[in-house]
Amino acid sequence: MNHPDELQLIEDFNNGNEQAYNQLVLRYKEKIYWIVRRMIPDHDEADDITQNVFIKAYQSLSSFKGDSSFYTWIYRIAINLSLNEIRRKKIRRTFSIDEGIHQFESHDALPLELLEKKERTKQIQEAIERLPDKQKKVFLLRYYEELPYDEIAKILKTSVGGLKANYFHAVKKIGVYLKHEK
Amino acid sequence: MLIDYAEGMLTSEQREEADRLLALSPELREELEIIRSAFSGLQETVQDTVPEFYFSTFLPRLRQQIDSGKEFSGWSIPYFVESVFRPVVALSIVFVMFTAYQAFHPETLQSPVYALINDCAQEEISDVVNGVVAFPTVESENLFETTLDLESFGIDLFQTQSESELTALLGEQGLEQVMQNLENSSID
Repeated sequence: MNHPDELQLIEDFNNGNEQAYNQLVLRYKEKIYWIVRRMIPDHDEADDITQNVFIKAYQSLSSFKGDSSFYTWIYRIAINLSLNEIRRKKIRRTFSIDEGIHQFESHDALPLELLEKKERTKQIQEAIERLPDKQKKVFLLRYYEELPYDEIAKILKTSVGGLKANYFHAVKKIGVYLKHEK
Repeated sequence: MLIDYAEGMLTSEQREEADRLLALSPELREELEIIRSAFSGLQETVQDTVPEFYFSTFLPRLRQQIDSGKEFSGWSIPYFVESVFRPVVALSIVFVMFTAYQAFHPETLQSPVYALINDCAQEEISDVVNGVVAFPTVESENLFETTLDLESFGIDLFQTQSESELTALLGEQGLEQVMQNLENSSID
């Protein structure tokens, strides 16, 4: 459910109070940034998308009906914009081989342990990226955001049973991917 | 359940039951191993960092974008527009195709009079209607009769053909003749 003061902030914003919108941004900027960053590992790109999420919220708040909580609503925007960006990147990557080269170049001067961890992180990101959209969303919200299933169900508008199955398959796929990449 | 088991979320009773099932099934044990390796790998990852002052400068940068009224890329379409955009485009495409089809196959959607007109040259029709010459084909004569027999067939000629269109096609005299025939409900 919505926090009462959030509904008030939204109403104030819709009545022309820009400070109310600023309050919402201050409250959720970090959460939204991190949910985006889990999906888009590059900080600059994640920053762009996070800003876009709040701009989209700014433009659409008048249509927010309060059926779900504000953060459920804005999480959904964040996830959708991030997935759109991933899809765009996949298309771009099809036409470019430069990206991978730059990634390896940036690792040159790192200590071995950190290098291994970075390599592991990269594998995890690849494993997550390979997940079907639904499983990806569920995994990110459950594992990184540690949201309860019933909250994820509200965000993704689906059943708890289905979410549990999606989470299980997502974790299993990541495990299988890491096993093969070792 | 395996996930909850790996995350230590089960009650002691549930855990005992899971242990029993795991002891019986090598497949379950293998799945559990995969899940544990996934969680282990996830915990080994490097913590992402953000530049210093990133969050403290976020709002001013955002406000700058909003206040400058920057032109945002395609996603800036409001929600309600987005939700109707695709159906509207789809309907527009269907409409264009329908119109194009109609333009090339008008007889399928027009009244039988129009079909008759298509069978004959305009002048010939006027002559036919005025009784100067006979119908060019039996089929066209049947069509014409069908068209005029309104009560039997429930055809409303003026739903599909305006008076001006008919005048253009049949000529004023021809149309008058048609109207007269309509009133008599018979071609004879």
